[in-house]
Parts: sequence; structure tokens; C-alpha cells
Amino acid sequence: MNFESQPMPVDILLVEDNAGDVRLTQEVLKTSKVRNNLIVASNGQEALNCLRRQGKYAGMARPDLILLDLNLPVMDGREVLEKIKDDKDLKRIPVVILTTSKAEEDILKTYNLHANCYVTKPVDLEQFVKVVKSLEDFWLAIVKLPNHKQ
Amino acid sequence: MTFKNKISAGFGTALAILVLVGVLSYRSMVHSDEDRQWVTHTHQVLEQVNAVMTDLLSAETGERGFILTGETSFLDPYNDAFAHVNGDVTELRRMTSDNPVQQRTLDRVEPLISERLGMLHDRVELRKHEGLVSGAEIVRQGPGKRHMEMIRAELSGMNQEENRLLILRSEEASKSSRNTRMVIVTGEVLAVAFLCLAGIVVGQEIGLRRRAEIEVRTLNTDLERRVADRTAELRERAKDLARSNSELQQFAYVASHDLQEPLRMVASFTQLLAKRYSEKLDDDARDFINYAVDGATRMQTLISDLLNYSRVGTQGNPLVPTDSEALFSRVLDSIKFAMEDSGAVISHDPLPVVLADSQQLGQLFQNLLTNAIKFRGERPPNVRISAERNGNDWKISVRDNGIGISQEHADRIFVIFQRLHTKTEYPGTGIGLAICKKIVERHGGRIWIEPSPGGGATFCFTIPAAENQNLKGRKQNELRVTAYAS
Repeated sequence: MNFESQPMPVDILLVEDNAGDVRLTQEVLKTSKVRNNLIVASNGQEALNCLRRQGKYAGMARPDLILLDLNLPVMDGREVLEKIKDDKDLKRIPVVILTTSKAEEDILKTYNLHANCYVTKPVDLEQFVKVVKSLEDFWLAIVKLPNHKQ
Repeated sequence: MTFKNKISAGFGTALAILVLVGVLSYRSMVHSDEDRQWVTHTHQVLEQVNAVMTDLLSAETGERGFILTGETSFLDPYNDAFAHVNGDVTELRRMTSDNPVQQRTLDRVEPLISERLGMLHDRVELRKHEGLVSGAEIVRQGPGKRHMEMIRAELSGMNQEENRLLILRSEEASKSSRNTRMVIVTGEVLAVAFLCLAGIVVGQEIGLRRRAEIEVRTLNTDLERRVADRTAELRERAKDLARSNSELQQFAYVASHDLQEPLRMVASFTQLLAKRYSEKLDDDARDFINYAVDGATRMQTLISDLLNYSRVGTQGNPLVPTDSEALFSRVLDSIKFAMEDSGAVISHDPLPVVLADSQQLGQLFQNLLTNAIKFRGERPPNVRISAERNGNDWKISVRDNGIGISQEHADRIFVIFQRLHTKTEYPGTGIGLAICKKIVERHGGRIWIEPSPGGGATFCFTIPAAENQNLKGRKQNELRVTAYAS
């Protein structure tokens, strides 16, 4: 999934209930070198609908990367992660856990559920920008991902 | 006297009495047997006296018949008596050999009998040779009658003597058989009495034991009930504790996640504001934004400190023998940069093997060392760690040459978020020593501060020694010095 050879914008699903965080992430991604299309789901159920292209997400492209918060209303992030990794069509999509929690049990549990990486949101804005840029850099430019759009 | 002794005494006495009764009654029976033999003997003596008398009478009767009739057939009883009489007298003498009175009587009667027999013989011979008249004449005039009276009198004396003895001996015999009966009866009564006594004691003891048994059973039941009550109570309390523990964990989680999100928002958006609109803001606005960001950041640090503090109690590892020497080396590695920056020199005694959660002990060392470096004076920090065995514990001291702490604040410094300096003088939230105290207390030790001679502070804490572990294999009194050139 190389940027130069891939004119299509990258689809990123952000599962986040905090509008402030959504806005911050959007602000950072706006300045990104990679053309991207940020889809926001504010709870777990909506995220699954989006991934399965159900309801209002019918006909939409499947995301290339998922940024998943853990504490969500309706269905929380751990359950969403479990369902994604249990789904043979979805389990290849990298899931980055992006959360405020530093709790050891959260880290252990999500890796056990096959999260692709776990990142704690820094308090400092500059740090936050750095983290989101690093993620984008790593997952959208450096690693090779299967082309599941086909 | 114990129960066993009482029983032994009771049965022992009864047994002794029975044995005594046996011995006494045996002796008594032997005695009365002897007495009865004496009675029999007396009867025999009487018979013997009669036999002698009968011999004499038979001889006389035979002699008279022969003298009157001249018929020799009358001489048969005479001859018989003649043949026996001496033997019978000798027998009588033998039988009464124990009795001097009878012997003396025999001494007197024996010559009389011999004389009498001589007379009878002479008259029979006379009658044989000279005929009826001379014989009858002799009988008529002779001293025979008087002689016979004397013998009769003597023998009857003997009879009387024997009858006297007979009465005496019969009494003797009946007395000793009365004695025997009395010994047996008294002994049996006594033995039965002691057996009864022992029986009563046994009965009482059995009663006592049964009562004691019942009492013990009652106490046991009571105890079991109390243990059950207490167990139920403890189970309830354990449930409460588990509930409160899980609530605490829930709280810790909330603190680590939910409380921090709003803070992040405050900090991030004020920063975004400052960045995006920097040209439109004046210095005051930027200052205000800095204060807001600083406040949010500090708040976040406080929350995470509080979390670390609460984790000392809830997330500790078990206490195991831990080589504090090796642990200390790792801690020195981790504070290498702080040591470089300050030019600190840290020296330490060989450190012991202690019973600890190595992660927490490491944090304890690290907090104390970074404190010693942080609160330094004008001179580069010089920190000395020493270990001293004190009973089951080790006392570890960390002595520095820093600014020191006045004794009046000695207790305050271990309280969470208590600080003695402004943040501009020495940064920090005031959590480090509170965590140290909590770690030491979790290990069952205590922590305190002593003034260092020549300024500085000495932090001391105790920690349990690992049993059978000492500084064996380590060089004693060998000081290790660590410093990193900057």
C-alpha cells in the first residue's frame, strides 16, 4: 500500500466517543502527507456497522486502519476488538488501540485479543500530534498491508 | 492422692487383708487341730488307764476262779492279763511322758502293780501245789484287797488328772476354733469393706469423669459454634474486603482513564489555541494559557502519583528472599543520568538478602537515592548506604550530605503530598517518601529520619532478613563506590 502507487485515499476508521479527541485527531490528520478519509464511529455498535457496511455505511469502502478507543458507550472497545478479530473478513485490518488508559490489565487484555498495537494518548498536544503522525507514518507508509479492497 | 493411687491403695489393702486372713486362719486351724489332737490323746490316755485296770481285774478274776475251782481254764484271762499288763503300763508311761504328775503317779503305781502281780502268781502256784484250802485261805486273809484298793485309787487319780486335762483341752480346742471363725469373719468383713470403699471411689471417679466428659463435650460444642460464628463473620468481612478492594480497583481505573480525559482536553485545546492563534495573542494570553496547561499537566501527574501510591498496597508481589545487592546495582544503573548531572558519589556496604517484593524494594532505593541527589546543597552529593543486622531485621541507612531536614518536620515528610519547599525550589508532588513509607510498612518494617552529623539527612528503614541468609560469601567491610563521570 504505497502512497505513490495508490492514488486512492486511505480510509481510517476512528472509534471514539469524545468529540474533543475526534477533533484533535482530525486536526492532526488534516496536515498529513497521506491523503486520508477519516470515518468516525462514536460507539462500538456503529463501528461494527461501518465495518460490515450495514445501514448508513452500505456501499462504503472498508477501512484500511482502525483507531479504537476502549471505553465506549453501547459496546465497548474490547468487545468490538474481539468481534473484529473473530471475523474472517475483518481480522486482517490493523487495529490500533488509542486510549487514555495506562492500566496494565487493559494492555494485557487487548493484546490477548490480538490488538495490533496499544498507544496511550499523551496529555501534551505536541506529544499527541507526534503520536498520531507516527501511527500514520508507520501503518500507512511503512508497513505492507493486504489489499482487502479487492 | 490421685485416682490411680486411691484405687491401688483400696484394692491393695483388701488384698493384704485377705492374705493376712489366710495366714491367720491357717495358723488358727493348725492350732485348733493340735488342740483336738490333744483331746484325742487324753481320751486315749484314759482308755489306757482303763486297760491297765482291766488287765489287773482280769488277772484277779482269773486267779480267783482257779483258786476256787482248780480248773485251769480260769487261768486263760489271768495269763492274758499277765502277758499284757507290763506292756500297757509302759505304753501309759510313754503316753503321759509330757505330764510329770502322771509320771510320778506311775512311779508310785508301778511297784504296786508288780507287787500285786507277784502276789497273784504266788497264790496260783500255792493253789497248784497245795490245793483249794490254802489258796482260799490266802485270798481271804491276804493283803490283796487293800493292795488293789491302792492301785485303784492311784489309777483313778490318773483318770481324774486326765479328765481335768480333757476339760482344759476341749476348752482350748473350742476357743481356737472360735478364734479361727473370728479371724475369718473379721478379715472378710474388713476386706469387703475396703473393696466397697475402692468400689465407691471408682464409682465416684467414673461419675466425675462422666461429668467432666459431658462438660468437655458441652464446651466443644460451644467452641465449635463460636468458631463457626467467627468463620462466618470472617467470611463476611473477607467478602466486604473483596468488595471494597474491587471498588478501589474500579476507582483506580476511573482515575487512570476517565479523570485524565477531561484534563487532556483542557491541556490539548489550550495548546492548540496557543499554536493556531499565536499571532493574535498577546503575552498575557500566552501566560494564561501556560498556567492552564501547567495546571492540567500537574493535575495529571498528581493523579498518576496517587495511582502509584495506591498500587503499593493492591498490586504488590509476594515477599521472597531478594538479593538487595544485585537490586541496588540495577537501581544505580537506572539513575545513572541523575548521578552524572549532579556528580554524585554513592558508596555502599555489602547489602544483605532480605525478604522483599523486589520491584517495590527497587523503587524504595530509587526514591531515597533520587531524593538524596535532588535535595543536595552546594557540594556534589555524597551518599552512603549501610546495612546493620538487628534481630530478625536489617536496618538500612541512606546518609546524604544534602540540605537536611529539621527534626520538627521529620514526620510530616512521609505524608502524601506534603512538601517542605516550593515547586520552584525543588520540583515534585510530594509523593516519593509517602510511597517509601507505604512500601516499608507493607514489608512489616518502619522508616524514619535521623540528622546526619555535619549536615544532610539519614533515612533509615528496617526490612525482614531472609532466614538463614547472611552475608556469607561476601567480603565483609568492603565498601563499594559508584560514580559516573559527567
